[in-house]
Amino acid sequence: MASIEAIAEEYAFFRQMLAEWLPLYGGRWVLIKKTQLVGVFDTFPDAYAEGVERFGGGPFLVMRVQDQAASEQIPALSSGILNAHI
Amino acid sequence: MLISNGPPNAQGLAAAGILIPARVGYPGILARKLGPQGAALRSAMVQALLDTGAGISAIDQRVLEELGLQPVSVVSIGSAHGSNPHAVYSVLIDLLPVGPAIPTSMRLDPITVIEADLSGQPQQMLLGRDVLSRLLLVYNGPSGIWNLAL
Repeated sequence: MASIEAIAEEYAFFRQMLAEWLPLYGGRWVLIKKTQLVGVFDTFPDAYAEGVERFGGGPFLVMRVQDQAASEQIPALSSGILNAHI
Repeated sequence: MLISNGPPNAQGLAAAGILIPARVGYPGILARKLGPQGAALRSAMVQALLDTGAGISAIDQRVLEELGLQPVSVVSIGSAHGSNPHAVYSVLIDLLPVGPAIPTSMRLDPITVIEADLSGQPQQMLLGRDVLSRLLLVYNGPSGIWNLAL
């Protein structure tokens, strides 16, 4: 969706650095602004709070350093049966 | 805090599920940071559907655009056709009373939600297990009654 464009630069940088960061920061959360690693945090709320403090409403990116395979599921939405009836 | 539906309606509950009116807005930490500008921050009213099958909550992209929030993360959502990246936002949610006998609301601040396309649906938000993990849900299908407690 179009809104990912707002953090496209940060997301591309994260994907570029992921292999290098996995052994260093695996399981932790990184805060990224443009192509800069701003900080590494133990929780999403901590990283987000720092992002808000430094950058206000953003844009900035908070990502967990982990394998980026599909991590969430919303089956009813994905399969189109959210309000289905026979 | 307790929220429940109005008059028991087994048929209505089976047809529509648990629908809760909610107000979506800027998370408190961001509103405080924005200071005086925070007084003019927008909020939006939505209908939220409880979805125990959803691992993460979702809000329609048009609502997020209306609020003017920026995405803060990206998550991959899996489906039968593969996975796709979705923008993630940090928001504040007020779940509002459904039945007039329960004049309380529940505030969740902040929660993270993904952007989704819910166009054509009667709800603009899905409340997933990330939210439900903080709550006690009682669903009585035959009687058409539900309760949600914090």
